[in-house]
Amino acid sequence: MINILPLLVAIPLGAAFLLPLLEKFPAGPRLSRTLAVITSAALMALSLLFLTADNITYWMGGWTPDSGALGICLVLDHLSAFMLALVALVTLVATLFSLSYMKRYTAEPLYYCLFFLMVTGMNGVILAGDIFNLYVFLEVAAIASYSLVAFGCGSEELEASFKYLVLGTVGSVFILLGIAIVYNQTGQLNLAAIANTLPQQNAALSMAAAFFLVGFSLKAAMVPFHAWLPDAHPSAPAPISAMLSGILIKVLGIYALVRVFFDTLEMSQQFAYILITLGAVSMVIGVFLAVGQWDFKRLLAYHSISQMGYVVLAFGVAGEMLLTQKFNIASLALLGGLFHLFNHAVFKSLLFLCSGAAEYATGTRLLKKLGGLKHRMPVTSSCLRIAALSISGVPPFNGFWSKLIIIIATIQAGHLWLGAMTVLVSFMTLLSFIKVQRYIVDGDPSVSVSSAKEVPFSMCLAMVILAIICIGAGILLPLYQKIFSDGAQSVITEQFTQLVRLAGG
Amino acid sequence: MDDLQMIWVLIVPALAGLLTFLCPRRAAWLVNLITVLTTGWLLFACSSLLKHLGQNWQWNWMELAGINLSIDLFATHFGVIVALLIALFGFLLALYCVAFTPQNQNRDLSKHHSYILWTLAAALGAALTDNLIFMLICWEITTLMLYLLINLGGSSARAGAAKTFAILGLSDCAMLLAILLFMFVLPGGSASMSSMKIAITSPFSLQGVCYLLLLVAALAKAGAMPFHTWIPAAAEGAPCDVMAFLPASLDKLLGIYLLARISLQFFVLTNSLKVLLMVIGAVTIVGAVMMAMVQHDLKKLLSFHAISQVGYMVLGIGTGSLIGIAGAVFHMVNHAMYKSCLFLVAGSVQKQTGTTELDKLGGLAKVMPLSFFACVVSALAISGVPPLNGFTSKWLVYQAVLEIPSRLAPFLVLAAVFGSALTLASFIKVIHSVFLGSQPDSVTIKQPSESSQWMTTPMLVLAAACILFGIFPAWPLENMVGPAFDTMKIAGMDQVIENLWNPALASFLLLVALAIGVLIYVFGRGFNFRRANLYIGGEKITPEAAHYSGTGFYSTVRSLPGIKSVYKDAERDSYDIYHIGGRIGGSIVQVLRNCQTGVLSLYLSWLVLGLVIILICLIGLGQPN
Repeated sequence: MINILPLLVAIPLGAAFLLPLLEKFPAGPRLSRTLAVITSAALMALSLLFLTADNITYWMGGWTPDSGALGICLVLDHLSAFMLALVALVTLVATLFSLSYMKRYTAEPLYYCLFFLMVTGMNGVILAGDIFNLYVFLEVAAIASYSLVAFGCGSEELEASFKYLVLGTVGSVFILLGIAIVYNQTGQLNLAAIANTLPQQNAALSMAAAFFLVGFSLKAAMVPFHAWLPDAHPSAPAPISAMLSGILIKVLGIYALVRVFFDTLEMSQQFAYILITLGAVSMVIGVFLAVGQWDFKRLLAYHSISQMGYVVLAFGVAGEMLLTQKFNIASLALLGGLFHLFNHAVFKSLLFLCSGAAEYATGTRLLKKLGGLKHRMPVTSSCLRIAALSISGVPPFNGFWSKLIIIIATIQAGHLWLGAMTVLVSFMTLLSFIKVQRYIVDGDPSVSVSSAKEVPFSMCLAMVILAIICIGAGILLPLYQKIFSDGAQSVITEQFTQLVRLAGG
Repeated sequence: MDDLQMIWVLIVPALAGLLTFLCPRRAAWLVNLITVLTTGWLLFACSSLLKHLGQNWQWNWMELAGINLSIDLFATHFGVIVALLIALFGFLLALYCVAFTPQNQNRDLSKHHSYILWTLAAALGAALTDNLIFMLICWEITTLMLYLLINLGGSSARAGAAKTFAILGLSDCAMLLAILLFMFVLPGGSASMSSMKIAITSPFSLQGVCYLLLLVAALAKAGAMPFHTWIPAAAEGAPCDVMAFLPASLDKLLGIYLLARISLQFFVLTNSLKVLLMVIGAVTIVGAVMMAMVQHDLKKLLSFHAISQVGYMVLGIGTGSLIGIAGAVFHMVNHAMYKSCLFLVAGSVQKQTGTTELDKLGGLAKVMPLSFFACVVSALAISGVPPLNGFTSKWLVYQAVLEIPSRLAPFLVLAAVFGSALTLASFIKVIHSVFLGSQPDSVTIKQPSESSQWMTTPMLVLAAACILFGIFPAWPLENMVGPAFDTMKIAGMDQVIENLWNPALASFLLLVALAIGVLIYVFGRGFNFRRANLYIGGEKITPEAAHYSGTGFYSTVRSLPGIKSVYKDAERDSYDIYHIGGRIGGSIVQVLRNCQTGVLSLYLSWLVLGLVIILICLIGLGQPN
């Protein structure tokens, strides 16, 4: 079991190397599709295997610190197992969706190559046990995503990709600076070792923390570091938008933030308040910007900012409660945050896939040009409606439950105003998705919709899988709540650092 | 039936809804059969619950850090009565829908019926639960189902559907916030409804805010001002049966049920809050009826009355006195009956003629006598004409308002009575334009005939109930309003019934008078009238020119000085919370969008700004701990 852990990184990396070779063959596109499906199915199977597994610490090549070498360490705790499964899920549906959707683009093998490089990067970030590898994998994923945003090669895509590139690189530089300062202070790169040898809080460490906050917030698209996202996410091909909004910002931003601030650096009152503020501001500003949009994908992109705000807010509240020893509320907040992260990955990917399907069939993504989709594309519009209701927090769909848990935790933590704000944002989200449903799903078919046909089977399948999760995930939560509460527990107990320590870190 | 678990009352319609949703397109009969059987069973099951009051059923869905999220059903007497009424309306509607939905729209038929069944499940859950969070979930599901049902009305319905979902969504959010504040912040608050009693010290305290938030939820659901605008918007496109089912009956039942429980049981109100309630009630009565008078569309007109009548219930609950509460709860029951009946009549008219425009209708009394009868009875009931049920409940409310020790009392009574008079006035217009007069020839409509028995039976049942409840008000007061008093632990129902105005004698006299009138008509010269052609200046004029539609009846009201500008504003939606909110939100959005210029250097400077702020927070404000 332990020995196959690196496969999670190796499989997509290997696929990414094989895929460009197929470019030369006439049967390249078909082969690349087959390879892509096999790879993502294998990833899915592996991650499900690890989802119920025990915690694992794996030293690459057996180079443990005892042997005096600077080894690469992969760590799997409950939180990372959960994140891996989530990445694998979205990867699988995005691949399925790409099968038909990407046929209209040239260079399919190269697309899948970048796609799996991004997956490699994300899986690497999730498993990395030392901060420098975390950075390397983060850059792998980020650079793959820059080029994927520009994959359409239109002027808009290139502009968006350039902005994303510049801002993303600035963010990465800050992360690297932070790593440098931490290394200077502790002489360690392994996350657990840093936590062990952390000196008394000083200005240099605060500076490093500030750099980390800026860098990871930028990756997570928190306001005011969000500006790249509304350009980048809509410009990418739809399955990539689903990957970017669904998992990339979560893995590079939020997961890394949790690893650094909860497990490595000591949580402090200021960090908690900064996280709460970032979350609350993103929530509110994101949703206001979203409400006014008439471009479907842009609207969705702004909602990603707002929904990530919920998650960061929940983590901030959890951090604050941990400091005051209220573990009950902290675990509730973490549970809510993780569950919302999962739900957001599901419904936001679904929404982006639906937007892709609508664009595929009608050629437009402007709300005012769409309309009456339910008459022509019943599967797409049902899925779209389900996802819209999920993100608006309407019971019995999954978004309701996670928002409910977050709001309960916020109010129990004594932040009544924040609770009220969260409810208000939820209402604004509802408004904006009422608008989406009104203009896209309902009414009589518009000119561009009237000749549209339902999208091919594999695209429908991808959407239906996610829609079923949207319906079931909330009500059936008690059945698999353990996954989330284990994840939350592993954050609270700093299981991660314990693990590495036990393994001789 | 003794071992019937309460939960089946929710599970059966939910599953039946799923079944109809999956029914093949061609099997319309199967869909109808499932719906009628399920609703019939529900009616039976809810009435058997009456024998098992106090029964409860609990299932823990999940435990979250010490909070139990559970389905917690508890058969309170009030809840069961509300549930019974919900089931009754569900059953009548199911019968009505057998013939109502056009056969060529089979694709929507199974959806329609499954939404109706899911609505029933959710509404019953809201009425029977003891757990506030579960109630909230059911409450939101009814909102969602209403949205989906309105959307079945096609292209014209989508704006109304969006508005409905927006306003009710706001109220659901208010309710969510209130419930969570309630559970976790207020001393003595818990998720269990039966054990709650909180005194409000001032409207601006946390308790007061909590109450106001719940009030918003209840008023929006019931459709009182200023959260009323979704009802007329929904009426524009929604099918009539949906209007009869949700805004006219179920939403009222749920909204007033919640209003009664929060105002009389959960919280002890201050005087200022009571006055607030009464003023909302009075304003709602008059404002909505004024709008109703000038409508040209039957559905819209009825929808404004659906708002206006809520005013009486709110007013009655606001008085806080025994008679007022009795009147309000009784009015809730009565209103659901006659308003549902009126919408069903509208549906029947629409089905037979293809329109609900008052200008295009006329003279239907001869071809649709049963619908005409149902319409007249329920129109008189809604106008509060004795001896029909609407009179009794309104009378109780008037009495209660007169007794309140406030200088406002005369104005409130005046508003209430005036509202009734205007209601009658506008229904005269309806009856004239739809059923009497002659049909305009310019409008070619399908050959109208009486609707099928599936549709007339529910209307006649409701009309008969209006008459019976009016002549014998003691029975419903004892068996439907009394339970509400029991549940909310208010004593003194007996007094109310003892002091009730007894309409038996008056009804008898009225019947005698009617009989004499009929006799005179039959034996007198009633049939011997002469039909003559109309001439102007020696020229024969077409019947079309002689057609006088009732829509013009009150158009002068619109141009009265003072009222004129109010009407103008109202028609431009200036008083519509939806549009006001939209405008405010729009300007905020504009400000934010102006910052999103797409210039990279600006974005970079935000980044630097953010970094500086974080650095100041972390380093500038001193070391942690």
